[in-house]
Parts: sequence; structure tokens; C-alpha cells
Amino acid sequence: MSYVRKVGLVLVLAMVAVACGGGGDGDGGGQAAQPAANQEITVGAGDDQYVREGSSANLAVQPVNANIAETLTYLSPTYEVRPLLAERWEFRAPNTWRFHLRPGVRFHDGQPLNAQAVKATLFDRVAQQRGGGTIKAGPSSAVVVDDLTIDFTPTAPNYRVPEQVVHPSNVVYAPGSDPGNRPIGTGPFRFVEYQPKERLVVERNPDYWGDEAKLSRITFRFYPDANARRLALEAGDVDIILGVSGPDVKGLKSRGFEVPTSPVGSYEAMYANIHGAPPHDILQDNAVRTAISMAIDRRELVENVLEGQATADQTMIPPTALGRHRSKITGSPFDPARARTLLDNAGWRPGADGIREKNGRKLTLQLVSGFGGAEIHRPIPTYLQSQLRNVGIGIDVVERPDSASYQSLIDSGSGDLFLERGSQNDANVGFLPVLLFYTGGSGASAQYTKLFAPGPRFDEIIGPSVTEPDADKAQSIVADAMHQIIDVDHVVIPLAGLFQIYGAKKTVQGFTPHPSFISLRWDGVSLASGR
Amino acid sequence: MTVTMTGTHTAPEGGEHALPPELGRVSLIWRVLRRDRTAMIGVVLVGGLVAAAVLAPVLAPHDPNAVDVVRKYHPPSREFPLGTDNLGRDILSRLLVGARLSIGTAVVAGLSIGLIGLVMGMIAGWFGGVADTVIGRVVDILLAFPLFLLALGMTGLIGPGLRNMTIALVGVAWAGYARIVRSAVLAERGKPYVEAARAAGATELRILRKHVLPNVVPPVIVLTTIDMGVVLLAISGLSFLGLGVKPPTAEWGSMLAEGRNYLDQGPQMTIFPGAAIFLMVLGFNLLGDGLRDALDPRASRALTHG
Amino acid sequence: MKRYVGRRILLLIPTLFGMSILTFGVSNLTPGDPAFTFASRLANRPATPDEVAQAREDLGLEGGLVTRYVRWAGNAVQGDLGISFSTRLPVRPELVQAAKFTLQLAIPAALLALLIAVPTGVVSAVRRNRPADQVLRVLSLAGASMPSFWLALLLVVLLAVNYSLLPAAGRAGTESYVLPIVTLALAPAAVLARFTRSAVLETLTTEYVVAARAKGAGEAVVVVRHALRNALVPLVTAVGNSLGHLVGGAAVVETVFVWPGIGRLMVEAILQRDYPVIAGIVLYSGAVFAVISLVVDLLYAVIDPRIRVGSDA
Repeated sequence: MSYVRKVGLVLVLAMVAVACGGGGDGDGGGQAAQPAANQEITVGAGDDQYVREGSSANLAVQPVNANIAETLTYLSPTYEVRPLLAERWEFRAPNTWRFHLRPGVRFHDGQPLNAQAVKATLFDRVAQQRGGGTIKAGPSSAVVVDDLTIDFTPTAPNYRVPEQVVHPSNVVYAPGSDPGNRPIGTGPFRFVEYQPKERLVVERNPDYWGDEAKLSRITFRFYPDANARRLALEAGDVDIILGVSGPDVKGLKSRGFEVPTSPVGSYEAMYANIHGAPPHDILQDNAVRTAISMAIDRRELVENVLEGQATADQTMIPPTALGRHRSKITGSPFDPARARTLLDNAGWRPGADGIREKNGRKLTLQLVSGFGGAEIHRPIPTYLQSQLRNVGIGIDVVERPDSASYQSLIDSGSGDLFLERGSQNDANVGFLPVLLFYTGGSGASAQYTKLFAPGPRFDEIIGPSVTEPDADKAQSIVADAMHQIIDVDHVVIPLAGLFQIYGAKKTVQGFTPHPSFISLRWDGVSLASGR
Repeated sequence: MTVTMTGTHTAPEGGEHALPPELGRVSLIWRVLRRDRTAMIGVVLVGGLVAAAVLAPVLAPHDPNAVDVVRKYHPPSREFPLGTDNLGRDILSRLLVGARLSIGTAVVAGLSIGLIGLVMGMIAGWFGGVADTVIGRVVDILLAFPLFLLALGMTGLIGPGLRNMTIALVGVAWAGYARIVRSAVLAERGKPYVEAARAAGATELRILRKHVLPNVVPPVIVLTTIDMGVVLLAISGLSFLGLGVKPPTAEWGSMLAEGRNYLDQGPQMTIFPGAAIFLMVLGFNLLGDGLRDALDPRASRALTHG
Repeated sequence: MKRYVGRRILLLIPTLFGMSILTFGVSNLTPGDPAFTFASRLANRPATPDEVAQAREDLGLEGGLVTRYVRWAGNAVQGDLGISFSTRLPVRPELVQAAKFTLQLAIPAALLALLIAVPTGVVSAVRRNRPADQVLRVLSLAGASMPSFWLALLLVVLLAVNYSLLPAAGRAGTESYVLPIVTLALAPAAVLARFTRSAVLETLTTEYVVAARAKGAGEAVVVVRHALRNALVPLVTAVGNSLGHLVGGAAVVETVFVWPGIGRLMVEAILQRDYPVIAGIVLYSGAVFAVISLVVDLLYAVIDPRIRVGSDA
């Protein structure tokens, strides 16, 4: 087939495509050489996960936050709580938080921000959710004190409210706004249009209460696949991408892209099933758990397997979020010799094939990968398998691509080690440990505690964190609890601390990488002129 | 999966005109096949790759699962002919060992599809009645859907994994064969020589075995050969979508799926498994195409004269 | 003729019914709680008991299996496929939208495939067993053997990243159609080329072609006027089938190119246990596929009057 004919084919094809496309798709075309005066950028985001109906509707708010609607308080990249729509707040015993709202703020539709609006579209909205959301809001929790003052009393003792309302699920909408289709808020950007699974477009809010955003328009495009997202940046389709995978960092840098990274905000860890029935009862023995933790060379894991795009922090809670108490958690040293001794002493003797045995039983464990989807954990399970083999522990890797079938394995206790990735999305550091491991109160996940709850000692330590009004003391308590579960009980075997990796063109300026990308701010971002 | 259906429509040419069985048929086919240069490429590809899979433990220069992150992303070299992957494992060794799983699955699935389709088609075509109605209905249902989409859905529903993927594929793909075999059997059933055999006192089973089977098997063989390639493509496609083999097991599709996350640093992780899949499928296709010609008397006649 | 069409449509009903039971049954019997998946995905961590309960309520997952099937099937008959677990929006509009996007690829891909296949197939048939034929045959088999995801990746790296000629992924502007369509068209082009070859070969040996040749008609005239025209009949069937398979095969291509079509919707639904969407896609694709094959059969009858006589057999 001649070259000419081939070109002809492409032309015909293009015409057909235009005919089918209905003509409305031309706008995204010539993005290659835009003048900086334009101040429009395209962001390559992850999967479109917006909920459009019901009390959890969150279009343009979560997980990709377009800064349309704002929260009362804001989570800084170092996990500090900062004022946003609330200028200040105070605790009023026994269980009430008083928020003083910022005066002179208007919603995009011109309505003023006042206590009535906050009551209706934040606290009363969240109260409709089962259990009243993480802040435990009830129908009569919110009380308007005056136009700019509101009291919030949770249905259960909860002294963590200001740390929790940083989460975008607690944004304030304009009264009458439709959060699933056309959200109206107070933020630096206004809603323009949304095409499910394709794009979300927002424009600058010229009447923003703070400094006006530098960008006039942002188009978010959804690329669920990290690889496709990275290729889109390299091909010039987008200016910034949210979420770069470790192996791609070097390549992006060498091609002249910026790769900003945030402080640590997520973790990769294994949870040990310590209450399992045979055949998953081996890890009831703390000696085996300790040996596992000591047999893993985290530095090599971070440097070589995760391509240097992680830290060897042995924690579940981001170190910055624990403030000065972070050093209470020491983690395990890499010491395969001691791991072998521990296993020897526990009665596990080396077998013929290198896997240890005791009473005719092999020391082979099932590693289930994992929360967040098996895809994101690769190649960690394979690496752990080779590491643990060195001390005579055999590992069978079980992968479940979707979290429902993963969870069914947790439900039935079918596994010894469960590989999970989690992230800290608010400033309430005790939330996750309580949810997963605490048996002293309601609100914990029965499925997780059934396998992983370390027991009374841990409960005793972490219990008071829920009702401790002072943030520093709460951090101290949680740090003690994490020391117990990580360093003493070895139920949580942390592998690495992870940060968010972003990719951007050199012309993008003022972008602040955030460890929790649901709290990203776009108002400081701008495009540099020239190239 | 496109190939299957089209194959479905072209295949009966071979079946309708096939000669009654005769001795030395295999050698005749081989004679025809040997003169077909493209088919011989297929024979070489299939034979070579299957041999490589069988001899994998001998041929593999390294332990396919030996992790050594210090030597990761090694470009092809004398020690690692196809380079190493993100965990420093030898790609050639993994391809060789993975060939057993990939080719093995394709062959097993292809044969199962062919066999189930053959048996079902013969039952429906020969016995008719209720059996025909029931089988016909199921076949109609299965053929009413785009094959790959249905296999995808089934895999998603019964849960991912190589075994489930294979079950889903076999479970939906046999229907096409059953339909072809049924119509071929129907055509044979009415032919005079069957009547004659029956009059001569031959049992049903003997007629089936001696007269009908030889006429329906050739197109099934052709289709099965081609479909082994199709199955390999489908399985690697499903693996690529994240529904496949769990690590660290080496399998071509999942190697490729994994490799695309490292396109930058280790393009060899993507290029070579893809090439292996391509060559193997090409081999099945060339061989199947050649077999079709060899089993189609008109084609072989034309070959002899032209 | 009318009766034939009517019967074909009636036969569709038990087919779809069987399929609906199969999809609904299997998807509900597999382990795992969609409410937990949904709530956890929303929270980006394991869901709290309250969140799971909320999700169960929102998603209509209360009640027994039979109750839910009856509710679901009853609504499905009226065109309501329920609510997607991931977006909580009605499934049908989402499905129709995705189907539109898939067709925007599949139809041009089918046309492109034909444009490549027919000339290739004719040349191959006319030059039968000569070098040109052998080269084209190997090429078309190579096309059919190419893993589409592999080809897609190589094309993206080469054309989008290295030379920045075309967008890497996403649906934005005319250029973004080129790579997915080309990738998608390759396999059917190869298959249709083989098909055209054998169809033309078949007609080349028929009496009227031989007669036309005997009357001294030029080879080009014989091929185009007689052979190709008659080869059209089976070709229409093949194109119809290809279209159905293009839709199915789009899953992989759409994933690579981040195209919000049916295939990607399906893959996402599987990974999220969004079974109203899975069941909806399977059901609707079955219905559409059946309609396509019906139309193809009717076209067949129009092109070739001989078929009509035999249609009731």
C-alpha cells in the first residue's frame, strides 16, 4: 500500500471521526503552544470517582478537589490545622466546638456565607449520613449562635472535630446547591462543566474572599491508568499529573519535567493475622512476627524496588502528623541473623528445601495483596517473598484485583499477612488505628479487629485518644499506641512511608505538593511565560 | 476474538468437500503442507516455541524467579540475552518458563473448546429432538453476545485468575464449534452412503465413527489450531486488564502487563513478552491456514495444478 | 419474510432472560460485599460499619437474592437497569453514553478495516499463490496475530511521546481518534482481507465468471464487475460480525487510550463489583449484537435474492 493511499485513509478516518464526534470535541486540540497570558492549564487526574447522588454526593470535591467548595478548616501539607472558612474555633466543655466564621465571604451565586448556611449544608447534610459521618453529627448537633458563630455538639464524645472537618467530605455548599451536578461553594474556582469519566472544567472566581486565583481556567482530565497519565504529560496533552509511579520519576526528570513530591502521607504495611484458625494460626506466635519484621531490608526495598520514591519510615501515621512524638516508634532493625535465631528458638528448624518446619508443618504463609488494589502493591509481594525465603519463611502470594474479594478474605480470615496501603487524609491521627485495631468502643471495623486487634494493652493506651481535647496529648497517646502495635506486638509490620508524587511541565509555577491530594490547592498555581 | 467467528464462517468449505477417510491421510496432508511455504513458517514457529517451552528447565540460563534488585533493568547482554526486569530477574528465563503456562493454557483451552464443541455438535446434529433443542438454545444464547465481552464479564463474575479466565473462555467459545459441527453432521446424515451403511446393518456408533466423524473433524482441527492463537491473545488481553496470573508466576500476558509500568526504564519488559505472544499466535495462525488448505481438496488440487 | 423477522425477535427474549439470570446470579453469588467496596473506595480506607450500612441502603442491597432479582429484572424490562454502584447514577444513560463513544471508534475502525481489506484481499485472490499473495497473506495473518495492547503501547510511545504527533490518550479533539481507531482496525482488517480473498476465489471459479472471461472481458472487469460483486454477500456478514467484535475487543484498546467507552466501563465495573453495570452491559450488548446479526441477515437477503427462498429452512 502506497504512502499516499495511507495518508488518504487517515484523512477519511478523521472525517468519519469528526462526523461521529458531533463536532463538540475540538476545544481540547491546540493546547501545545499556549501563551502564558492565557493562564489555563490541564490537569491529568486519576479515576473519576465522583458520587453524583445521595448524601455523599461530592462532584468536583473528592477525590479530585477543584477548590469549588471549601471546608471550615484546612489541612496543611505538614498536617497542621489552619483556618479557612472558620477564622478560629474553641472547645466548650463538655463536648461542643464553637466555630467563628470568616466575615464577608460570599458563595459563587452571591449568597452570603453565614451560620445558617453552614448548619444546613455542612452539619445537617452530614447528619443525614448513617452515624453522622466521621464527625458524628446528629440532627440537633448544629446550633446557630449568631450570624457568624455556630456551635457543633457531636452525638458522641468527639474532641477531634476541627481535625476532622479539614476533610473535603465536610465542605460547605451554597444553600440550594446541587452537590452531585452543579456544586456552588465559596472557593477560588467556579464550576463550568463536567463530562463523566472525561473532564471537569472550572474557572476563576473573580469575587473570591482571599487572593484571586492566578489561573483563569483548569480542565481536569481523568486517566485511571498511571501509565496513560504519564504518557499524556510526556506527549504534552496535560500540564500537571496527580500521581506518578516511582519507576517513572527518573524518566520524567530526564525529559525535563518537574517531579514535585509531598511529605510522607501514606504507608505500605502488612497486618499479621494473630487470631487465625489453622492453617492460618502460625502468626499467633510473636517470635515469628518479629522475625518477619527483622528479615526485611527496608532500605533496599525503598531504594531499589520502590525506585527511591518512598522512605524507610516504619509507621502507619505520617511522621509529620505525630509532631514531636514521632520518635516513640522505633521500628525493627534489618537483622536476618537474629530473625533466624528467633525462628530456631521458636522451634522452626530449616527443612530440606530451605523452608523451615516444625512438627512436620512447613513455615509457609499466605500473603494477601491488598487494600487499594493488588495492582498498586506490585512488585512488593514478590520482593518480600524473596526476602523472607532467606530466613526460611515461604510465602504464597494471593492477589485480588478488587477490594470486595480482598475484603472477603479478611472476613473469612483466609490469610496470614495482609498487605495494605493507607493514607492520612485529615489531622485526626488516631482515626485509623481505632478503626482497624481498637476493641474498646463502637465504630471499629469488626472484620479488621477480628484478625488484627492486639488486645487489652493496646486498647488501654489508645482509648483515651478519642476524648483527649488537646491535640499534642492526643498525638502522644497515638504515638504510644503505634509503638505498642508496631514495636512490641508486631501486628503491624510497616514497610515504607510513601509520599505523593506529581509531574509537571517546567512552565507550571506555584504548585504545592500535598501528601493528601484531596486537600490540594490550585489558587497559587500559575503558568510562566516564555519557554 | 475476531478470528474465531470469521473462521466459523469459512470453515465449512473444508468440511463439506472433505474426502472419505483413507489411509495415509496424515502423510498426504503433510505432503501438501510442506509445499506451502507460509504454513512451514507456522510449523517452525509452533514447533520451535513448543520445544522451547518443553525444554525450558534445560534452556533457561537463570532461575526465572531469582530476585536480585541490584541487577535490575539490565539491558540485553551476553549474560542476560533479553535483559532483566524491575526485580533483576532474567527475562529470557521467565519467557521460557512462562511459555509452558501460556502455550499450555492455549493448547488445553483450544482442545477443550474443540472437543466440547465437537461432542455437543454431534449430539445435537445426530440425535436431534430434545438434545438438539436444548443445545441449540444454549448455543444461541452464547453466540448472541460478543465473545470477548462475554468472556470478560464471566471472568469478572467468577473471579479473576488464569484458571477462571480459561474456564470462562472455554465456556463461551465452544458454542461456535457446536453450530458448525451440527450443520456438518446434519449434511452427512442425509447422504446416501450413510443410508447404505445403515441398510448394511452398521450400528449408529459405527456410522458416526466411520463416516461422520472423519468429515467433521478436519474443520474442527483447523479451527482449533487457529483458536489456540486466539485464546492466547484473549488470555494475555485479560491479564493485561489486570484479571490474570498472580505474581511471581511467569506468564507472557502478565509479564507484558507488568512491563508497561516500566516502559521508561525497562522497555525490554514490554517488548519481548509482546513479541513472544505475537510469534506464537502467528505460528498458530499460519499453521491453521496451511492446514485449511491442506484439508480442503479443492485447494490442494489447485496447488498441484497451479 | 415478516414472520422470519418476527420469529428472530421473539427468540431473543428467552435468550436475554437466560442471560439475565446467569449474570445476576453469578455476580451475586461471588464472595465480597459491594457495599464495603463502594464505601471503602469513597473513603480511600477500609470503611467504618456506619459507612457500609449507609452504602448498603444507598445501593439498594437490602433484601434477599430473589427479591432483588425480581426487582432488577422487572425494572430492566422497562429499560431501567438500576443504579450504578460507583456513581449511583442510573446505569442506562451511562451505558448509552459509553456505547456512543465506543461506536465512534468501532464504526470508523470497521470502515478503515474494509478499506484495507478489500483491495488486499482482491489482489491476493487474483495473484493467488504468487509471491504477492503469499506476502499479503503472511502480512494479514501477522495483523491478526498482533496483541492489540502491545501494538497500542508501541504506537503511543513512538508517535505520541517520541514525535508528539498525536495525543497519547484521552478523548479530546479529532487527533485523539487516530491511534485508537488504527489499533482497533488492524485485527479486523487482517481477518476481512483473508475473508475477501477466499470469497473472491470462490466466485472466480463459478460459471459466469468463466463465461465472462470466455467472452473476452478484461481481467479487471471480471474481478470488479463479477467476482467482487458476488463476494460482497459473505463480506457483509463478516463486517457485521466484525462490528460486534470490535465492540468486544475495544475493552483493551479503550483501557490503553483511556477512552470512556463500553469496554472500559466493563473493566472498571468488574474491578469495582459494580454488577448492575456488568449485567446491563452484557444484556444490552447481547440485544444489540442480536439486532446487528438480524440486520446482516436481512441485508444478505436483499443482496442475494436466492437466500430468501431458503430462509425458512
